[in-house]
Amino acid sequence: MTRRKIIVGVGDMKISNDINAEISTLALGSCIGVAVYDPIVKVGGILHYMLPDSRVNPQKAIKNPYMFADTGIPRLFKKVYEYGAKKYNLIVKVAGGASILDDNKVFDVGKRNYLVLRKIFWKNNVLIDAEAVGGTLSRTMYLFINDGTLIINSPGKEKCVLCIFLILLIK
Amino acid sequence: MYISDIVDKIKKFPPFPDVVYKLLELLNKPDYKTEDVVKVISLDSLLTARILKLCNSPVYGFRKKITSVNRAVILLGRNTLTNLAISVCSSRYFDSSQEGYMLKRGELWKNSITSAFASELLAQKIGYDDTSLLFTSTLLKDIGKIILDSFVKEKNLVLKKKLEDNCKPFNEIEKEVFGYHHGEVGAELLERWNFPDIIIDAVHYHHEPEKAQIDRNLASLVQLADYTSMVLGIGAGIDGLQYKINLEELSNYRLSRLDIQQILIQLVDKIESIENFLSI
Repeated sequence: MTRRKIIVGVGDMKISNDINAEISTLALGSCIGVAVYDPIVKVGGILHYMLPDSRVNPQKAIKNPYMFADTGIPRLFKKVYEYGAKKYNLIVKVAGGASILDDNKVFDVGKRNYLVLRKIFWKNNVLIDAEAVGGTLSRTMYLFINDGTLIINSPGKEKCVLCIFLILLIK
Repeated sequence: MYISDIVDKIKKFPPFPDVVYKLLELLNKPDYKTEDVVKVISLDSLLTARILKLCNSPVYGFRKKITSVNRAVILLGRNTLTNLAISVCSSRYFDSSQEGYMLKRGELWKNSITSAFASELLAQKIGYDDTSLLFTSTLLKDIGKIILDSFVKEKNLVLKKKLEDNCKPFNEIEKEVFGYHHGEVGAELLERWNFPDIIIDAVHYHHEPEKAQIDRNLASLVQLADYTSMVLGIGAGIDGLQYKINLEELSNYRLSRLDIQQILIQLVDKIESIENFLSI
């Protein structure tokens, strides 16, 4: 079996139902990667958004909705539903949202990215099954479509499988 | 102690080609002439060829192919041309992986180039004029990491422990462990290479611009440019995003959270078109 590697860029989204596919992000920095997976129909996808709110640049959001949490996240869910995924089956995992040490909060894109995500999920009754967010670590996500395994990789750290119910408190 | 080993390594580092010094000399004069830049670059045919390749990169968006340095300088201006020349000459130093910092080959260079372009966007936003000095300082801000890398590799476990134990910025951890942080090492190297003091100063203090001796503005713009690409995860290694930003420097520019977000959007658009710069 040869793995088909699909890379999600910054402000990008990729969905697949090919069981040989491995979807991965670039290093996330303050961006956030949202991975969803339906184990019954074996479809999954990752959204890599950069900023919390599309109001900062509405034209950009029309051209590329995946750059923002508020315009990207709904599209991710809609797209996997089109592939046959069901909301009650979806496993949702989140990574990224690191920040520079900034008391002034001008560079706190990471924290804001995460807050907006929580807000959108709260409104839509979506629970996060596992997450590795915040702190100063840059993370990369790998999602395997055959069984939904999600691996997080950070420079200088062991690769880690992000299991359901495991909330990683990495600083 | 590490300091003497580090200094030894700095001494052994191969210097820049002469053409860069000639360009820097020009840059340092406020009224340098366009012809002078063309003359200096044209002397080196390999450099000329590489510069022309970059001029035709989509980042500048010219429909017609640029085939001479003369034409390039008319279309791009002397500052951009000088930036391109220094980029070409610098890339060779970044042509390896930094195992200590956990950066794959090309990652540090990608960070340098992306930050340099981010510095142009920042300069535009706040109306900072000396874009060439800013570009070069930003491009070379992390050159010290290349020298420090083998020491970082040796002390990897100690550094990781310190990173996990507290929220100290990584440059302060480097200083604690090696006696030097990568800004200082870079500055030492550039001093040996006879770079202008103002660039040395900016590289030295790019993580602590409030301490800069010559130009705090320049140092803090280099810092902001660096952090802009870090936020995008570009060139984040073992140090991740563990650096600090100074409150005062930011308020000087009245840069708001939204300004930074706009710059990030512009930068991401640019990244797609700077692929040529990654393989100079």
